[in-house]
This record gives sequence, C-alpha cells and structure tokens, in this order.
Amino acid sequence: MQGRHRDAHVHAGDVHAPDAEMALVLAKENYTRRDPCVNLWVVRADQIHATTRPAAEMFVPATDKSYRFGGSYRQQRRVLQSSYKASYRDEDQ
Amino acid sequence: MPETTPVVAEDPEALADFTARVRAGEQIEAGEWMPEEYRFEALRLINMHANSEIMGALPEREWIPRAPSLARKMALTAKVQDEVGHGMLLYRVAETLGRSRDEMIAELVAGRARFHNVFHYPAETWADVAIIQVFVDGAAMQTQGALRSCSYAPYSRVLKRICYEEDFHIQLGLDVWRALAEGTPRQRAMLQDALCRWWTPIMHFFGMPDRVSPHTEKMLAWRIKVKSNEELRQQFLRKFVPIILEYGLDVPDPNLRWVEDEQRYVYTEPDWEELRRVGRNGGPKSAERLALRQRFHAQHAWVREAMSRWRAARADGAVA
Ligand SMILES: [Fe+2]
Ligand SMILES: [Fe+2]
Repeated sequence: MQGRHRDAHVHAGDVHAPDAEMALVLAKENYTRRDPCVNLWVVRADQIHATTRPAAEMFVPATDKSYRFGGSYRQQRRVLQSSYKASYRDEDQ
Repeated sequence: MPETTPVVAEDPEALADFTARVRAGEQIEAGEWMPEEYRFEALRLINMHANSEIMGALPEREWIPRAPSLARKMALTAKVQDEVGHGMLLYRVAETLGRSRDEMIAELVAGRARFHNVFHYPAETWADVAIIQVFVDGAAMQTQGALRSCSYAPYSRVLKRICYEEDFHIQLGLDVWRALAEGTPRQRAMLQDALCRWWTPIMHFFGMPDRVSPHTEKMLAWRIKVKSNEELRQQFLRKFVPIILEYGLDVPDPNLRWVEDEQRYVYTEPDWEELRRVGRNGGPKSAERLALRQRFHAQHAWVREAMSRWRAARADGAVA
C-alpha cells in the first residue's frame, strides 16, 4: 500500500481471495477505509521469497561498524572543536 | 472443532526452544513450528474472536435503517463495516493455523461454533446502540488490547489495527451516550433501561474468574492469555464505572463498590449458569441471529460460486 505518490509501498496485511483482481478489491475494503492510499499491490503469498528466522544472525555485523554512520564523525568533530576552543581561550588570557 | 485439547507427544528439544522463545517475549510467526496444543488453543481463541466479530455486527445492523439522523446512520454503517472487516482479518489469521475459512463459516452458520455471549442478546432501543458501542466494545477493547502482546505474531499485528478502529467505535458510542444522557427525561430513562438490561451480559463478558489450574498457567506462560478474566473485568470497571456516575446514571448493581485497600471493585456475583447457557447458543437471540446469518450465507452462495468459477475459467485460459 502506498500512502502518497512516490512514497515506498508498505505491507499492510493479507487477504483471502481467488485471484488478483478480487484480492485488490478486498485489500481496498480491508486496509484503506481510513489510511490514505494512492496505490495498492497484491502478490500471492507463495510468490514471496524470504530468509529464514535463524538466518537473522547473518545480518548481525561481525565487527564494529560505527565508521558507517555519520553520527560517529559528528561526535569526533564535536570533541575536536571543543578542545580547540578551550586551548584558544587559554592562550588568550 | 473438537472441544478437547489434543494430546500429542512433542519433540522435547523443539518444545523447550519454543517455550524459551515465548518466555523471552518473542513472537511466533505463521508457518513456524509450534506445539499442537498451542496451535489448537490459539486457533480456538482466534476462531471464536472471528465468529464474534461477524455475529457482533448483527445487533447494530438492525439499527442502521432506524438511526435517528443521517450522520448517525453513516457512522453506524462505518462501524458495522469495521466489525465485518475485523472478522475477515481474523479468519485469515485463523487460516494460518490450519483451518479453512469455508470450514469455520460452515460450522458457525450451522450453530456448532461459539461466539461472544453479548451478541446473543437483543438490541431493543436506540439506547442499546450506545451501550453496545461504549460498554461492549469497551469490554472487548480490554481483552483485545491485552492480547496485542500475545505470542502469535499474525494475531498481534491484526489486533493493533482492530484496537485502532475500536477506539473510533467507543468514541462514537460516547457521543451517542452523551446525547441521550444529556437529553430529555425519556431519553435518560431509555439509556438507564438499556444499561440495566446489558449489565449482566457485560459482567459475563470476561468469563468466570479463572480457576488456578495447570491449563491456565500454560496459557499464560505461552501468552495465548495475557491477563486473567478477573483482571480484565476489574480493568474494565475502573475505566467505565466513572462514565456511568459522571452522567448521574445508576450502576445496575447495588452492591458494586470500590474497595480502597484492595484496589478493586466488589460486585454481585452474576449468574454463571446463564453465561454457560448463552455460550452454547442458548441465548434470547441466538437462534434468530444464526438463522439470519444462515439465510444470507445461502442467499449469497452465488457470489462465492461465481468467484470460484471465474477463477477456474481463468485457469483454463477462457478469460483473459
Ligand atoms: Fe471489532
Ligand atoms: Fe467494535
């Protein structure tokens, strides 16, 4: 289900229907009574390929991945700037 | 559906892993391994909930043509549509536990399945609609709200959507309630009368206080049950008794009072025999509502048939 044009589709739920056309009708009736929606997709459940539950482990990073996040660099900059300003003020006196 | 729990020797390792996961607060997804007893109990609960949603649409449906204004008619229609929608979502969840929807519906219309006690009673006046929307939906909200943290993930997801919509039902009901409670003496009397007639069924709604039994313990440990019947009844009373008092109406139980020391309400023990009778489809409106459901089920057979024929024809390539 897509709430606004150009948003990503988000999974809303499932329906019991004999074919795609009917599934779209039922999905509309069941999931868009209140939530905004501009577009619906339906797909047969047996056409979804998924990883298994135990496979969740494979997404856990093996090493520290802080270098992948902007936040860690922002933090470093804060530390650097604050020490720089402190020494600058020291010299001033 | 058989009434007794299946006795199956489970793989002890799988069972231990399952129990540990549930205990750690994890949820079980559709299609994952689960003990047969868990499947049975979860299915029984969800199937009964689904039945109750679609049977629960019937008492209020009677009032759609007689709603006192167009705005009320539209809101009530939306509410009834929500309930049928809840039924559809819940039958889908029940299907993931291994029963077909056809089978469940056939059992329901044949009068061999159970649905909540409150939907076996008549909705005599417009004030009954207010009582149903505030107190019956309010009672259901306590149970369903608690079950959002149950261990079966598909049920829990669907309950989040259901509770979100139930909130609208209660707010709508409070608006109808307020209009009547602040209305003419006749309107107030009508509301009080409806409240009196509904009090016992609503007290029954949560069921008898749970016996301390290994079965209850297991249901709680597996989180197919999250709070005890009595806990939910108390939670309901704490939220809804003040609404009655705020509008100067009488609580239909003269013995009901708040006990500060115990932080709970005491009340007159309702007649549990009546609940048992009603639960076996022996309530004042059970037969009539089941007959109605049956009639429409038969009347709409052609829709189901057309849909399956359409599918068959497409499979043959006859229809593009
Ligand atoms: Fe509902
Ligand atoms: Fe409701």
